[in-house]
Amino acid sequence: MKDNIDRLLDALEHPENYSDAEVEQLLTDPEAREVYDMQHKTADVSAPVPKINLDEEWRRFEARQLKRRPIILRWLSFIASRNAAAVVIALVGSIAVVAATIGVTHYFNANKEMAQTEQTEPQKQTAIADSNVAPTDTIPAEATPLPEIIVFKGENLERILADIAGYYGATVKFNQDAAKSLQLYFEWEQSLPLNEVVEQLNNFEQINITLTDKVLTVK
Amino acid sequence: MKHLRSLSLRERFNNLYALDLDEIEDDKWPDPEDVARLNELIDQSLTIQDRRVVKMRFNERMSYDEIAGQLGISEVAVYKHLRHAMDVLRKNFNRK
Repeated sequence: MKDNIDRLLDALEHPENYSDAEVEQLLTDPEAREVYDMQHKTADVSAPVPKINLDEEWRRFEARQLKRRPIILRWLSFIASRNAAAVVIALVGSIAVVAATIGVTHYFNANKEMAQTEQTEPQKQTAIADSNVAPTDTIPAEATPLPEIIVFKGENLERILADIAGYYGATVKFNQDAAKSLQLYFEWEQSLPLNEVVEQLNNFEQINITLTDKVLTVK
Repeated sequence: MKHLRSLSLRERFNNLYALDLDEIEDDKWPDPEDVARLNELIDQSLTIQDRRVVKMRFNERMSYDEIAGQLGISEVAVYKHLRHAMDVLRKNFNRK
């Protein structure tokens, strides 16, 4: 026969089998009440610890900390964390634009100077049937500019050689008209001597120039 | 659901228990020292099987039927282990 403690344990597992009166009667037994009390305490110390999602807790902690910071510090940390990359990109972009502008301006200025040099010294347009001598600029420029790199983009050979010959004080002679209209992309380093410039031009397959006594002959 | 059921059961028992709280009332519970002591008793003063049943009953909130199935014993045996555990714990715990 079950004693009160056994019945108490049973009532805790199957309370539907016991009425309030029966439970009340069980709890009048001091021992049964002690067992119930101990069950209560054991249940308390055995309660499972809630699992903490550390990431979630950290986010909550961070949010609380941010709210507590003075506005200026929040602003600074926001700027530092979020916009630093944007600021750097904008800065780099600005520098690139400025550099490009300077480069383009410099290039145009150099070309402008060259054009002005040609305009101040008259070109001789002599029509000679068999020699086909191109007009050259034999009068040196009044102010000697610093050597530069002049880029000819799609310019015809006649124009290119006219500029180059003029710079070095040479003359140009074309043996055939067809060569005059050859279009090239050529970077002319003015610091180089004329013979080296001629060598570079001769690297083009269709070009054959000789330099003799400051006369550039295009064959 | 099991937790809710146990809460309402506890409430029910507590309602009845509250009728005579003067005799057995532990207003100091849960005192941290007592909690530590009870945990120590559970770990050290119970037999292996008694401790298993207590852990499964109170840590994992398993029913007697589930505990019996898990341990391969009868439900009556679960009762017996639990009762023995409660007897040992209350005798040692109350011996202050």
